[in-house]
Amino acid sequence: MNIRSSILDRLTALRGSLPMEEPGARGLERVARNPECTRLRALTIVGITPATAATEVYGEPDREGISPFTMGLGIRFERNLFENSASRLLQLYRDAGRLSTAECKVTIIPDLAPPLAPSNAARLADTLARRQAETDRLLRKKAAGSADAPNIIIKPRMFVQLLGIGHAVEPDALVAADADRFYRPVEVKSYLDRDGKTEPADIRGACRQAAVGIVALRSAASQFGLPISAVPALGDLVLRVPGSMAAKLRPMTLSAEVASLDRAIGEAPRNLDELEAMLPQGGTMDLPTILDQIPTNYRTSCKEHCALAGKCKQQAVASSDPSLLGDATRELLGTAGTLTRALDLMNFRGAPPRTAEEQVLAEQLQEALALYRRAI
Amino acid sequence: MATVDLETVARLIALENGRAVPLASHLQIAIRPDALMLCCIAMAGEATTVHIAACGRLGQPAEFTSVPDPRFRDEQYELLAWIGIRVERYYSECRERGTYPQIWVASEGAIKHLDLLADRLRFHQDNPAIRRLGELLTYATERCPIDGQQALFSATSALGRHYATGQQSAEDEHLGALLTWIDPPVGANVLAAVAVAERMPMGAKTDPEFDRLVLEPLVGQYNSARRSGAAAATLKRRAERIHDALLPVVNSVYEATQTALTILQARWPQRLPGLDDLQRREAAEFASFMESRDGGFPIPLRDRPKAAAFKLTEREDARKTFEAALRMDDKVALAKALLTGRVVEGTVENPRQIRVQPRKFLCTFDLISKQRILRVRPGDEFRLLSDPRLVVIVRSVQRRARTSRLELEITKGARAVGLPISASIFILTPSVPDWDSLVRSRLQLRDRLAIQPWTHVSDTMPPPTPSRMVRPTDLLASVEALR
Repeated sequence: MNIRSSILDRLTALRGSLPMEEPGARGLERVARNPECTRLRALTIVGITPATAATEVYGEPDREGISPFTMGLGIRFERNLFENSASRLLQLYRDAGRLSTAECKVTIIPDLAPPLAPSNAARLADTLARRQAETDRLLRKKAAGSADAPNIIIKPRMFVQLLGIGHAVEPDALVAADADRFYRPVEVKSYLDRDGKTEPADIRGACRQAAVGIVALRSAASQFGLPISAVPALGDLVLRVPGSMAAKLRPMTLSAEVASLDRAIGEAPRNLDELEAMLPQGGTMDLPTILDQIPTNYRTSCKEHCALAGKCKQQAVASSDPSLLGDATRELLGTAGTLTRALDLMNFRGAPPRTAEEQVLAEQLQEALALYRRAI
Repeated sequence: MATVDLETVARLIALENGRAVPLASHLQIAIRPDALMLCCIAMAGEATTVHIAACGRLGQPAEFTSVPDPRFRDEQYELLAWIGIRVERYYSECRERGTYPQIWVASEGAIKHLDLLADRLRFHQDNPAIRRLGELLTYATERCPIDGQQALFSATSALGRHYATGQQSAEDEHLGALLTWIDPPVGANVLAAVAVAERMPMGAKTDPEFDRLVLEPLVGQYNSARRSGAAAATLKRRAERIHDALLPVVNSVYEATQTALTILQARWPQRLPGLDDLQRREAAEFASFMESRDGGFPIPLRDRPKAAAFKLTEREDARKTFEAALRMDDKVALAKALLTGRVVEGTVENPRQIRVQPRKFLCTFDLISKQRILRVRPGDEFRLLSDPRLVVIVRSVQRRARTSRLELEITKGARAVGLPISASIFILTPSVPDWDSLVRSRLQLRDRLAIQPWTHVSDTMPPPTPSRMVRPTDLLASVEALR
């Protein structure tokens, strides 16, 4: 039995009755957003999405999901960019001086494979394999320095290795001028581009997904004998001009996002061993009692990206976690450990301060309380 | 190591008590009796649209209008024109009375929505009414980031200034959750009640599940009828169904916004004294804005450097002035400043008056403070909080254990206020509100920027201007000699 099938068996055992789910770019970048959350990492490694855990394990109603209006707009925006051999996307790059008029080689991967048939597993597998093969062929061409390599590849299918298992990711596009050594990922989002007023949460999510594309590209580049430097931590965001279907190109530097993703992926093997050691013998993650045993790291931003945020908040309430009052408060009250203890220190209740740090915290809380009471 | 702030303590108390606690002693907003409530719901993903709007005055029921599908431009413009009529009427009334408009929305998300609409609509080429609405909304949205402004508020941020809840500040952006903390249901767990309240949308968009199950099918049916050339009565019926589906959503937001203002008016009877000056400032800004519109001056999307310099100065001045006003008159703001050491409280010792010249005296005294943190350096100037005519300068600061001894010299107000009495308690503040400082700053900027610096007007560098000073032969040695 090789290492890969051994890992697959271990993951299958941990999942219990739940089927394997591909995390995709969103799932992978989610882990990097909250790397201290063991539960999120564990679910991603094992192949269960937080949404499935919320509904199938905890029985919560399905509250995740985006509005059909938003989804429809996103599809229309992408279609607008990619139709007619991605002429509008090509023009964006020409206007930005990134591609010359001669650099007009566009390949649309879905056009090279049979159409997707989700209801037919065999045909679906065949289509996806074909997409992957075509992507590999084009990436190899570029790595070999071929002049025929496309300048834009739409919807490539690449893989990010997690525990030696490849997880498919499909960036919206890849772009490279003829002189570029390798490709750069492009994320297309229908979020509004308002220059300095663009929603930071929108940019964050898109950047993180582009970072997943960079990790996948680096993996491909190394397969074809290229150094990591051939794929710098740079990506492009294509956002929407307010009130229209016109697009704007935003090059982004993604060093921090790529670094946090690399770190999260690099720690995965250790995480699997630790996870198995953490759970009781034969414990599976399709049981709420088992999932509850895996520590979380509830943060202010969890609601942005994780379906388990509500559940984790309930557990934070039960354990009197200072993160209930925000990330900054968690740092401030870290010495006390719990909100209950912080309240006791503030009100001269319970056990006296046990360490010098607790003493300092108690004095600060008492001083602030005295001033507050004087004011109110 | 970060130190505990007053807001953290207040949130801890709120969590323990199971209800929000006060975070201010005085009402910090001049709520206008004729304030306009504006609640707009956009179609999800189409942030520049308004699907349904509720509009009304403080304490009054709302008027509603909607369009079946805001993606159809003509119908969307009709809705915007409806809003435009009401906003124009309100602004005209304010102008006639020499005051200013005040618009209330539910949350910061709604403010962003209005800001987006203002930025988009004011450049509309073909429809003057829409362009005018964009311009009028721009007054409010451009004033909003300025501390102490009185033109545009969200109910969540207004309540957030006056209350601390037992949850994260980001969660306070849900108006329903915030109101639940302020008035929790009797006998129920506040966190459970908040979790229920959070399921009701209170922002500028509808819930995705509502869109999936209710709204999208209705909009789809309307569009199908439209495409197939259905009769006007059929279209009207289908449009009404969409309106009926959206009405409870927007009405909840509107009612919650009204409730927020009722709470502030009823439970904060003491107003910040500086509000009168803030209102005067606002009225002057509004008058200037409307004169610019009468003069046909456009409002650019991005400021040029000179305009940006003026606006940045305005923001800095507003922050400094508003913070000073809060420190003077709001006890909680004063407590915050004491905790952070920006305001000094201590006991007077050794008051001295020394004759230095005929009819000229040097007045000094020591202030003994037991504050854990003090942001005081020699040369800093402070004013007496209870009588700002007294101005002192710090000559020295000596710290021993938890006690600081400040040697202070009175530079102004010794005769008006008198020499401090030994053992009396003094509270010194770094500044008091200067309501005329902005006018002076603007005049100064006008003069300084009459000739723009070369960095902003020229692509080429100016010619070198060699120094006439003698250069040292050994530059490194000269630098080392400075150590």
